[in-house]
Amino acid sequence: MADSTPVDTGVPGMFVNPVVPLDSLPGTESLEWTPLHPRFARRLQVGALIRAVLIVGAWTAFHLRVLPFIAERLPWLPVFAWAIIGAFCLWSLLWPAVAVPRRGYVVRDKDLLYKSGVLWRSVKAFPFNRVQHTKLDSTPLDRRFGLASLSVFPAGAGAGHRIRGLGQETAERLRVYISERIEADGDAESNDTDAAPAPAEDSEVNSETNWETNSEGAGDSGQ
Amino acid sequence: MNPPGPGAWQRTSPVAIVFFVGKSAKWVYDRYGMFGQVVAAIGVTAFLLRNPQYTVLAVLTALLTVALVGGLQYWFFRFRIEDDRILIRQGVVNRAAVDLPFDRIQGINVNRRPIERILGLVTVVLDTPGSISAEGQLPTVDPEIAEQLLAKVAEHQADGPEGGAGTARDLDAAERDRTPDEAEGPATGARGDAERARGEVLQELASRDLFRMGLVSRGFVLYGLLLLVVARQVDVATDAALGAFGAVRDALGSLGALAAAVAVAALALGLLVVVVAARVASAFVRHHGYTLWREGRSYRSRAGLFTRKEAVVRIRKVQQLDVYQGAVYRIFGRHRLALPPIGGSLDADDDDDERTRETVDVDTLGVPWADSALVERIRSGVFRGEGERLAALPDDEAFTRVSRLYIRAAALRFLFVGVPAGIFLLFILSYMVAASWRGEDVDRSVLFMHQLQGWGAASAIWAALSVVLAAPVGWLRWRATAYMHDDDGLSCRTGLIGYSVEAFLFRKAQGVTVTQSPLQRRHGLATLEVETACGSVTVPYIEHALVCALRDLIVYKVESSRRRWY
Repeated sequence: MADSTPVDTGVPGMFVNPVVPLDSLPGTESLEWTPLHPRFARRLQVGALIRAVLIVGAWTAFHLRVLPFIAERLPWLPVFAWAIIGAFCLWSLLWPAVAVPRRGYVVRDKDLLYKSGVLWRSVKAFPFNRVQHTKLDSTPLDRRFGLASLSVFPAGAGAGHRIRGLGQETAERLRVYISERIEADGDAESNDTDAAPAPAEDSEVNSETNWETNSEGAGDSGQ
Repeated sequence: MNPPGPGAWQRTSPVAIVFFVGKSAKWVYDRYGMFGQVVAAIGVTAFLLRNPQYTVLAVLTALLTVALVGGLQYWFFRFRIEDDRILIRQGVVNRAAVDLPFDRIQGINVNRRPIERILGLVTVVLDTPGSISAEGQLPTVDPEIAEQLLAKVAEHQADGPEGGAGTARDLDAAERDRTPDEAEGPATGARGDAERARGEVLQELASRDLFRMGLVSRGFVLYGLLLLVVARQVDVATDAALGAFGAVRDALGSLGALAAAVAVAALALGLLVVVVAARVASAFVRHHGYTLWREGRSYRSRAGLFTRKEAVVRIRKVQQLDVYQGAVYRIFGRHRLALPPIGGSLDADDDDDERTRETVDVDTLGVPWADSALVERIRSGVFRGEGERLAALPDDEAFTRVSRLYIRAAALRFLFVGVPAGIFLLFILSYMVAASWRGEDVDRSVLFMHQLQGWGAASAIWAALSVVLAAPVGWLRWRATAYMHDDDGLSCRTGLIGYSVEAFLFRKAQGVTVTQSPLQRRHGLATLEVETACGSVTVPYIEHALVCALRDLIVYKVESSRRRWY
């Protein structure tokens, strides 16, 4: 179609796109990773201990009530089950001490990096100008250890990405920093030639909030 | 609230407790509502069966309530189209106000149910990024309003410095030309002409194509289920009417094993024919009169025999290009294409955020039956100006295979995931079989032991089969997995027997993850996973250095690009 040709090719004169040699881009090899809060491993272990007590309790009840009937014919089953449960509990008690020191994060000017994993190691990068919103949360156990989790939500990614085991203050500072970054990027974008006119940003925010209340209202009226 | 200053933390009014209680009740309902509904339904059914006189009353009350609520909802539903936004007011008890600026509208879908086609009306569904819900819907309105909305949104969104406004005006005029045509109703031929005059028609599907699509679509699952149901019915029927089946069985027995096999094969073949016929029919219903065309900077499609669905997607808002080619597709040389906008493929189960639940039914513009030329054409349309060289066709020669070590990894994954999953499924199956064992004097524990034995044997067979299959599966996976990239985007092919290609522009990425397993670390390899707003693209087993370079490039592009990603 003839009339669409000039439309798609970006902004003539305004849009420059020079080639960037890959080697010149900042890498992640030489970074100083910030470790998670020192008490986080202990907190995970306490959580695992509570879980272990619950599991052992539940299985003991099962063992006393139901298992005798099955055990008549399968004498190895209780031993097998106890072995698995024991191994699982021991594993979840010891594992945090191995895994937590290998997690860490870096806050750079443009993005947030998070690394994790002992055998399967991964490094995630979240560019700030794709983050839609952030969330802080902490369980009672977290709070006892002075910890909090920070989640960043990019568009469309459902549950978002969660960084657990930050100190409460660090998490709050990070959240504020990311929020400011998002805002700064939003401003930069609204000055763009390719972006929508500036009022659109405001109405975007408005409609977002309206939408929220609406869906609640409609949900109630439907019942 | 009495204002304690703008920066301070505030509580909402105490009445909000009702709202929060309702919210937690909704949370419980969303998770366990199914169970409650089933129990309630059984209870109510049991009650009504015992007291039939209440049944009439209940049905009447229900009908009356539905009619009353519907009438009230109609009465309170209003909408207003302004220059830059559309306002919708609705709700009887809870009034709701939707204020939707045209900027935020990502697509306008025009649906037509049979009754609307008779009356010459349409239903307009407005898509917005992030939060789509039933509120952005105008049921049974005049097609003129739909056209007006389309024109306004096009005009508004094209209002850029690139001189797109002129295009929008032209479109607007064209839309108006088309309107009388549209109002006449489903005169497909005439409308097709109008479309051709207005935009660039990319594809119109003929009956022959629809027939082939019916053959291609995944009827095998349905076929299997049907076979199961029939087998089960046969079983039940033998119990009930042994006479008739006994005669058949005698006849089969007297004919010998070969004849019996032939009879069973004939039955299976008959079922297959039924399934294929059903698939073809459903392809006709869904894709009848499929038309895909390009209009300015959007792709639009329209199809459907009874309910005519129309989908629009703006090229700028396309997040990635998905091309799928199954084994049977390859015989016909066709592909299935999807242009998902934001949130197009979210999981419904992603909890936590209620809004994401509603993002699920975003309409993705799909091209169900595209030949190579059309795929290339759409690819060059979507990636115009950037990522020009990105491959979209599965057999593109630009694709580079990943490391051969991936064969081992894929085979191991098949073993470690497939075997336990199969064993678990077999346990459920064996339990179901055991539970359906009828008979008065069956010892439960004996039955349980039988079940366990059957399960064990089946699991052993499955595990042995998996060991045999693992290597071929790994090899097939490796053969399918390939990638290619240029300065602006990446394209990745995956699959087992069928191939699917996902291509996206770097600047549309939402996050990047680099993962290394122990095996990969030993060989200097890594896996790249790029999250986009409608899913994620994973390239396994490529050189670690390349992965890191790509990651840095993606982050750089995301940060440096001054073009909007949505």
